[in-house]
Amino acid sequence: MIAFRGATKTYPGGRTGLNAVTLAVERGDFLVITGASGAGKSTLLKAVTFEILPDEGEVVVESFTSTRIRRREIPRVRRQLGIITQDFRLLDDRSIFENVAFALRITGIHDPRAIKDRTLRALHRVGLAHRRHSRPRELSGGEQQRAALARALVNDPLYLLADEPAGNLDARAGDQIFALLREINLGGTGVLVATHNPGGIDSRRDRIVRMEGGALHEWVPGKAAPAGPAPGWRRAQP
Amino acid sequence: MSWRSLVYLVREGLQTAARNPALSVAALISTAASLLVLAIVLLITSNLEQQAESLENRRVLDVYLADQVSEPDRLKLELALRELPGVARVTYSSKAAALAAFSVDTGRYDLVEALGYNPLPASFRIELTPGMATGQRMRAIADEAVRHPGVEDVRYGGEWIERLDQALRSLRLADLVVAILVGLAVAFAVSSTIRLTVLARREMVEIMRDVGATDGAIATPFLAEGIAQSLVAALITLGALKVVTLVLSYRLGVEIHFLAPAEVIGFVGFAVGLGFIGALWSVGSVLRRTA
Repeated sequence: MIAFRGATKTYPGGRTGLNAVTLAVERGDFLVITGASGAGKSTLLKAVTFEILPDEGEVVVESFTSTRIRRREIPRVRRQLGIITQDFRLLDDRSIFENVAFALRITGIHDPRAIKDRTLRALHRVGLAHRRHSRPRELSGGEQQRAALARALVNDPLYLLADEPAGNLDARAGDQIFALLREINLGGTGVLVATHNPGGIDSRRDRIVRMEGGALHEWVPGKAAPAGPAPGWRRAQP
Repeated sequence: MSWRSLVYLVREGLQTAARNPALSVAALISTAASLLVLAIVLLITSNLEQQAESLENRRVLDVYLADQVSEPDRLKLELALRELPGVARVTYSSKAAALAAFSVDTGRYDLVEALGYNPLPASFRIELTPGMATGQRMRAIADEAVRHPGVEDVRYGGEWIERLDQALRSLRLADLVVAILVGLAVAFAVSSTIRLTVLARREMVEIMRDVGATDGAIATPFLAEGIAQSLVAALITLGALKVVTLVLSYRLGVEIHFLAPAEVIGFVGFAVGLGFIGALWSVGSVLRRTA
């Protein structure tokens, strides 16, 4: 489980990243985090990876707690997470296969058979096995994001964090990415998606929260539309 | 970290450098240029030291004897001189040997015929142990030797030796200061170059961090690259320095000594150390910022 308990983060300069955020995400959840740019969506995801630690309150990821975690334990948390961002972050000096396999090798897996099997399985999941020998620049934006998704999945994470996964994609490619995220979620992986674009949200199925000035509001199903203001949103209480 | 991981990470660093030749070559040239400055200072120092050593080798005292000194007294004197602190060797030269040497040096073989006697005195040449050949020590030995009966005069460089000592001390001090300043400048330049390399690959650092690589795993490829880069740069520098030494020796008609093997090893070790520290510093600061 991922849990925020009254987590507050203020950046140097006074900007609020998180304002007493309380939230619990189970492994099978599909959580959509909406909000304008600078509302705190990315900060929320960075708090899950322990890239930032809250000034007050705590963040819990499985057995790790932000108030007690030591720096050398943070990689162990991240191995339980898959991360994709809007800029794909693929290495241009190697093939798509090598980009995905890199995540295995860098975490100490060196058995060639295991690397091949797991990498191909991840590429199959995102429908990119046929492009495994291509370089990232030879792929479309949507394909590059799928390659990044394969890399995030190759270590079989418990949760997938996607920070504006469709931010640099056209609508069709963006929809494909959201469809893939839902498919991954059906397999039992918790998915946390930060997006300022409501296009990919399915308000009937998704759990939706909205960030505003670092504060988190959860949408109550059956009330107003998720993109709309106040009525359907309630402030999560610690 | 297992050895397989270590081998993989080192290879990853070297392969990444090879896959990005433009950045690697630019870093290599920049590092080699910085190291060349240090190598030139080292070469000048080395040659000055050798010159100083050859000057020190010429530091001897000549103890001239009176003609009437008997054989037993001469032997006693020789023993006394050998006992003096700092004396490495005492060589006797008889009146006849002195005349022969004079004749060879000057080409005049008619001195005895012209004067009717051999005017040159017998003497002892005193050579000093290395490190003891200071002007002060030589004056002390001369003062001691001249007190012995049968000693007519003691000659050594006198004041010029002490002036030379002073000059060599100043030279070595200046050289040390220059070497430290240049060393620091080179350390900064090499570190900055490697830092640029790390910053250029910031994306790779972020990917490694996101997939759960440890700080050690993230740093290792960059450390390997930094060490390899500074090692190759040091070898290129030494090659260039060798060529410069040969050309200058030929053009100027003077013998310029290349660095001694120990100096070469020290230089390469220093460069590799700089590469390691530079990479550690650079990747450390990137890691701290991308915690």
